[in-house]
Amino acid sequence: MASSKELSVLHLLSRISAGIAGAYCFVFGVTTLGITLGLGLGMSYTDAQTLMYLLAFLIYTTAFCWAFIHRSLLTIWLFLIGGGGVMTALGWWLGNHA
Amino acid sequence: MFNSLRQAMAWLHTWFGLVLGYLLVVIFFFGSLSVFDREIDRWVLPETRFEPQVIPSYSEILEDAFSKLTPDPDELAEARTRVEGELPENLRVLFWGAYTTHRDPTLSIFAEYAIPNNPDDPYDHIHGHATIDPRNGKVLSEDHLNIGSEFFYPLHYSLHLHWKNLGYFIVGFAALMMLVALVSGVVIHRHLFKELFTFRRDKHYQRRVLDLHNLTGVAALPFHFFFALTGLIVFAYIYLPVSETLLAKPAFEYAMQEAEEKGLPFEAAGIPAATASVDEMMAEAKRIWALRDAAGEVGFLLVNHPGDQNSYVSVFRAGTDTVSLVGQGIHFDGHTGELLYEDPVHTAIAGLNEFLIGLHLQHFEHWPLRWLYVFGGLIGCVCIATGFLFFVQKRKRELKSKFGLRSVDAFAVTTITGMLLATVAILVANRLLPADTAGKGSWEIAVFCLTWLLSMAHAFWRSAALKKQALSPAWHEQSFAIAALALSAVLLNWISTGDHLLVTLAEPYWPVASFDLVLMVVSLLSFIIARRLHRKVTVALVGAQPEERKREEVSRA
Repeated sequence: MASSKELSVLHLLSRISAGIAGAYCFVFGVTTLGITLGLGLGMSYTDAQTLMYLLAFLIYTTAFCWAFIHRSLLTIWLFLIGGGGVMTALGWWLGNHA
Repeated sequence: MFNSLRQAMAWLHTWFGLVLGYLLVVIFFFGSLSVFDREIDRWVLPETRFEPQVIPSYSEILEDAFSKLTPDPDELAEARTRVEGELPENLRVLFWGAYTTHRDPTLSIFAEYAIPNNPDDPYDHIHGHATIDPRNGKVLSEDHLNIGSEFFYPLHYSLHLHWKNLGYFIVGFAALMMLVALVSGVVIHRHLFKELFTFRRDKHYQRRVLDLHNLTGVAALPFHFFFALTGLIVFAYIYLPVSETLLAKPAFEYAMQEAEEKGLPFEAAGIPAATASVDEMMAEAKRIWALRDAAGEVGFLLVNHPGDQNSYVSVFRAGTDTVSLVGQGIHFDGHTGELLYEDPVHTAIAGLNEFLIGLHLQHFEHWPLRWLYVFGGLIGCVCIATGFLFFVQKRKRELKSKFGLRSVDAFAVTTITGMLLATVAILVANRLLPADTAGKGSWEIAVFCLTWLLSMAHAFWRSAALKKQALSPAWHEQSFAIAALALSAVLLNWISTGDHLLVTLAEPYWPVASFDLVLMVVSLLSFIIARRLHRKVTVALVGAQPEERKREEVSRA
């Protein structure tokens, strides 16, 4: 296993980008989908939005740290950007068309 | 990537803590000052040194003051670029508002104006704002800066970088990294409880710095976590603008539906109509609160669509004795004065949100807790500052190139003593500049920025001493300057207003008296610290000389 001293700059930059941008994308998705699911469950828009805002930054902190802990960089990117993208799209669709 | 979880967390803690730490010290420090922003305003604006006032009469004071409000010139100029054709001379008022707390002698009034003909946004609007003396409605000069509430406080959450909300995002990211630093700090420390009681005064400098870093970090951990998190929640709508973008349609539909259910018109009718007595509405609201066994004052007043048939007036109870900022909103028909709607008890989620935000912003009355906030914030500064010092000390013997190390130290000086220097410099400038100076506030800000820049130049220049393994002399030199300027501020307040401590303590007028006392304590502490550091630098330099001489002799040989 590579030690931290042997890390390539590219690898490190990729982790940092995943931590910052990937986690943001993920949280944006969680918030969008969370609000529409909340609406579906009968919550008011204000309550659904507030609930997601209360959770969003705890989720971001967790996702950010995870980007530096998990072994596979590919999994991190797929989960954060992919998952975030899918949740954002689904939330948007449910909110505007369902 | 890393060999262990602890190693990954240590890397995160060190590098993100270092890079964002400079910013976090600024955020924590000005957040601490903002706890007493209103009191600082009293110190810098002698004409506002009178007792806090309740919301004044609408018919006698507010109506006239509201009607004289004008749109913010910068926002207006920007709005002109967004619309098709010319903007009308008189923009339609969407609402007038007034907000006050138990600490405000002056009253903040504001308005929102509709911007027509924006093809991209049919609900485009801009704002207007003024501060008035609620006793007579006199508008306070725009040239006068409320240094506490209009400069230190926005610096805490926006860095005064308003372009595309850039400052908010930078501060938000720093707050997130604060959360990360706290989580990673907990993971890398095996004996968290022990750290609370560990400060080895007799150990070497590097050990003591680390002990202090750990102790302050652990002792104030819940405080720091809470404030970083709730600070993010306050501006969540900026960081995650879901309801203005992807979910704009359902959000708008919900707002329309909610307005209809409550009977509060979402839009103006476009038919002019007289406004009923707002004073009677405020009296009625107070009567209803008293009936609920929650007698209180009006903290927030909103006159929506003023002068229109669809006008309605919202009256909110001041949160002096509750954690939430304001509450128990009661809404009246602006035209007939009839009661339209009473806000129900909060849902659990809304109540939790109000509680968290209210606890962060602390507009309620609790002076001991207010002081605890200041100490908590300053402990945060100590924690981050000792982190810098430890970083430099730990690497002193390791780094081949000293430039990076010197930069870290110079930035630390700039961030800590430089920031304090700039803060006392703006206060001195405030007392030195005549009250009728055109653009007085802008000059004060210029002094603040210039002092900070000069402190940075000084810190880099003096960091050359680090090559000799000594402490940078910039630390003690700037500390001496802080001591001198803080004392000067107290004396200048006395000379320019006559409000010296004997007067303000005898009255007593605590906003000025306590700020003068704080400045004197800062001056004294800075002087003591400066002297100790000076002695240390002298000893270190003298100690380093024989070594250097020996090295020179060797190289000559």
